[in-house]
Amino acid sequence: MKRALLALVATVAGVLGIFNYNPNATSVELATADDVDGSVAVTAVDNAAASSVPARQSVTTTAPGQGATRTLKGDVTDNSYGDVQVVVEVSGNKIVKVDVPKYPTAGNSGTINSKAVPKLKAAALSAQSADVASVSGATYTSEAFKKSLQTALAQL
Amino acid sequence: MRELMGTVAILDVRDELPIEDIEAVCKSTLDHLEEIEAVFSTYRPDSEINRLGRGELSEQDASPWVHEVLELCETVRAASGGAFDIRRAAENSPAVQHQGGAGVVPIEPSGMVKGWAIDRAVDVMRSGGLDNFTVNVGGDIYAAGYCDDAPWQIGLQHPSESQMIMAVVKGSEFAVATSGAYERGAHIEMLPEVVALQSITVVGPDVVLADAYATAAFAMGTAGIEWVAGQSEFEVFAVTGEGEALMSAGMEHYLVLPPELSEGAEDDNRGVLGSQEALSAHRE
Repeated sequence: MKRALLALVATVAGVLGIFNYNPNATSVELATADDVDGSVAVTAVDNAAASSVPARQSVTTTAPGQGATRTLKGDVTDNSYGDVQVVVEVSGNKIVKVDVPKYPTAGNSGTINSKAVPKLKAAALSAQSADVASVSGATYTSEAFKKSLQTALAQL
Repeated sequence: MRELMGTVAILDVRDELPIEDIEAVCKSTLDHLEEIEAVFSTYRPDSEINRLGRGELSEQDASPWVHEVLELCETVRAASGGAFDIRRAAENSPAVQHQGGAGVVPIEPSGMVKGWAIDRAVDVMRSGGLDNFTVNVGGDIYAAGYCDDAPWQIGLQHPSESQMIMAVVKGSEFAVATSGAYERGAHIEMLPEVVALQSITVVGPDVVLADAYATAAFAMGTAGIEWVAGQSEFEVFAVTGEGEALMSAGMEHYLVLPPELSEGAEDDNRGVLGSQEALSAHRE
């Protein structure tokens, strides 16, 4: 059984001037259910030009075979508050850890509430078996995170 | 200021169909969203909505889409006691102000258009033969069918720590729409007496209403939480100005709580999740 996940990402100008479809949208096809060896097949069909920042995705396999832990890094996306990058650690097809190694450093997003960080991880952990397929938030700086997490998840 | 705060349309499809077929339907859907944008964008001077606002186009001559959206806006404006008001919203919209001039009544229906557009997109996806997918436009989502045979799980963005998820909701054939403080000034104007929220997420069967309720309730502030909770079939998860999370009782049906937060962890987690309580309990 092959699972097909297609993520079309369209960048847009304007907070509410929604949906300016970018024909260069990233298109990622992946097949995981068949990959009994735990490897991940990621095929970038088009390119990552949809993002205004350079795509810096990477997949690191730390051990071969089933249950291998992979580290998936989302694009570094920037917004008016700074850069955001999300790293998702995957064992088999389950998310075991979500980390945000690159915090926004400027603007009025303020200091990071360190107590809140484990909650994010815990929430993501609880969703591991079925993925956090999407993130709901108000438009704006949320976009950077959503996009970044989205690109990391799209590699699953 | 440069408009760097672009939003994103993401289509996530889990149907087991040839990838080319899926891609073709997604392309049609995004094309359709682009058409909608051309009609409703307040950032395009020549959009119907701006020509209408400047009085260059009469409501009579506007397209059926515009009629439909304006009618919905009026319905929700009345239902929300005026909290959702596309004319008042326009006064506070940087996009609309650029278009404005003396003696015109600009309108800013963006709080309704996004949900309405997602709804249209869902129709296009379905008529293209897709059953299991999400349409996410700028953080408002409709989830159709299932995600690999399981309910869709949607993360709710933390209102102040934008790169964090504060909770996860799951379901099938449901909408999740969020309004937050960071979009205030874009299309939501607060009345002076309102006690502001950090964010409000509305979950329910219909994405048009979920988006409208989230927008209206955010404008209503804390009073908006109970207002949404009183709407049949819609649930609410809100974060107050103090960082307290309040939700309607029925929200538990959607929430996926991490085990360590759902029981016995209150002392350690007096943050967003630790301090949540059912709204029904809060009323007593």
